[in-house]
Amino acid sequence: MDVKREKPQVRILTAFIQILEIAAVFALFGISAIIFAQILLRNLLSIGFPWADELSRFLHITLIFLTVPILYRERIIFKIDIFVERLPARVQNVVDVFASFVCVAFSLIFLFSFVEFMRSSWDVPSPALQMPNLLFFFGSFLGILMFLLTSLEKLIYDLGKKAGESIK
Amino acid sequence: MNGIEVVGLLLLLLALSVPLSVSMGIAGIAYIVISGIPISVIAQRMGNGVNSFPLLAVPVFIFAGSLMNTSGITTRIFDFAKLLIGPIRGGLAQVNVVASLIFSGISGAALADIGGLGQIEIKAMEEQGYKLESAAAITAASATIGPIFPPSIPLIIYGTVAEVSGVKLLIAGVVPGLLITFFLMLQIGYFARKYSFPAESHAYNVKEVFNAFRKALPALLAPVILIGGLLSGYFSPTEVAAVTVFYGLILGKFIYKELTWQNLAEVGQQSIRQTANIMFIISSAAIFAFALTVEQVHVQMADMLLGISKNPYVLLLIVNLLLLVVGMIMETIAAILVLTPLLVPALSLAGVDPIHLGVVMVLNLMIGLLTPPVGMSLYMVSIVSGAPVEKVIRAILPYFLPLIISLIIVTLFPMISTWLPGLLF
Repeated sequence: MDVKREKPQVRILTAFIQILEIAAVFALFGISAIIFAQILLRNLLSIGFPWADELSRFLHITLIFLTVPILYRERIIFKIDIFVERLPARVQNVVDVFASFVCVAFSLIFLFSFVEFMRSSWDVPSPALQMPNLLFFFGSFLGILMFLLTSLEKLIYDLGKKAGESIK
Repeated sequence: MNGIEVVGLLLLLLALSVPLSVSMGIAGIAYIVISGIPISVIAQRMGNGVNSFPLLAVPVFIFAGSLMNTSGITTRIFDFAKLLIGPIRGGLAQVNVVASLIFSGISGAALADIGGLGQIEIKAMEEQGYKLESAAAITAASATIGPIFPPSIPLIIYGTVAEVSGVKLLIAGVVPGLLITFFLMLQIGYFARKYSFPAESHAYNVKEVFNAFRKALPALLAPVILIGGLLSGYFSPTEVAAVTVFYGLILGKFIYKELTWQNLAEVGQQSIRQTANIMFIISSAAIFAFALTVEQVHVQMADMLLGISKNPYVLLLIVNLLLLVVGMIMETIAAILVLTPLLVPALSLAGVDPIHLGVVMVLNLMIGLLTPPVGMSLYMVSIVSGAPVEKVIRAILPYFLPLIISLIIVTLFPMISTWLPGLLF
């Protein structure tokens, strides 16, 4: 994998994922700050922000999906290895290719579904912020698009690796 | 495609090492595509599956737990607990349990306890002459208190899925959390005499006691503020999480002065990874649950369970056995997401309080964290301590006894869970 990271397209992918990571960390800080500010303003000044709840949910969705490609690339996404680990190395490689292929298929179907979902409701505004659906859920599209790229990167790697070779 | 086939596909993909979130997603997608349901449902369900204010408590509590571990709060809690009960035989093992109870009043996750407090506890116990695997086993066993005593990430997720009051659920965990603490301490007390556990040779003077208490006081106030805030109605569970974060920031930056900007960035990076790992599963589980709902699997499950017996205790016994097995092979959050919609309707019809069921489920799945092959606490404590997993498994076996006894008592006596929320709300 390290060798592949030297290629320009892999470097660009890495740089882009790092930007997503920074955005996700700021989203987390933002959620905490908004909720805390809401408590202070409600309990001390009797002021309510109807948009605070919505903004924090928007940041939450963005945080989750932007981090998915990071989980996958760092191989920390939750999965069960105990059965596959008992298989011969060659079979393990086939299973790895299959698992990567399933991730690619999942990402593609999600992206297609997102386009279909937005085709009819992209401009539906959120109740408080009047944020269109397209923007509210854009983090999920971007995150899964990057997940598709990282899955493809892993699939290409799995197809080329030798029996028993592992990047874990 | 029927419900059984959807579940079968999920299990097959899981066995083939496909990520859990993707496995759940693909099982749901297969059903949607084959049934001719509009494909736009997938993105819509996945987005809305995590578009929930109560679920915001999860990332913020994860952030709070990591922050407490970085800001020096964990060390103060441990030092204070050590001072309190350290001098008795097996004192440090007891300290391990008491410190976990105090820390569980701030963090809502077992792994945060092991990753933060566990490191300090295991090091101190090893230095005092405990076997490494014993120290690791006690740390992992005591970490089960974390997700039972409020706040609790698994209980918040259960509450969202079962549509039960989050505050009532969190408060329901207080007495069971204390019960587990009591039984663990009892077991350790017995082992301390039987196996001559080491004792603290240093006798503390009044000045040392006062100093340790003074240093620990701000950290000890955290659970008091949080539970007080929940009970008074000032904060919702999600808001409690945000208060914990800001309290941790103030303590770490201005009181204990151990939190740097770099630490804060690292805590943020660590927290988003843990959050996304849980929440992406929740997002994908929304389409999996959709398929099961359309297929009325929960109704079939209810019919099947009620066909066996209508006695709530018999059903709870069956659920306990099922959860103990599921807990061995499935991650906690995934198990809650899959089983809650299936079990709650059936057991509610038999007269089981959903709050009681939530506590039983989470306690059961926390025991599952200590059992291979998917015992996350086992692996975490093995990484933190450096003790091989096999040795930790052997060392932890005796500590299943107090946990199982607690589970049986919590299962048979619903009042242990429902009494306090009933009294307060």
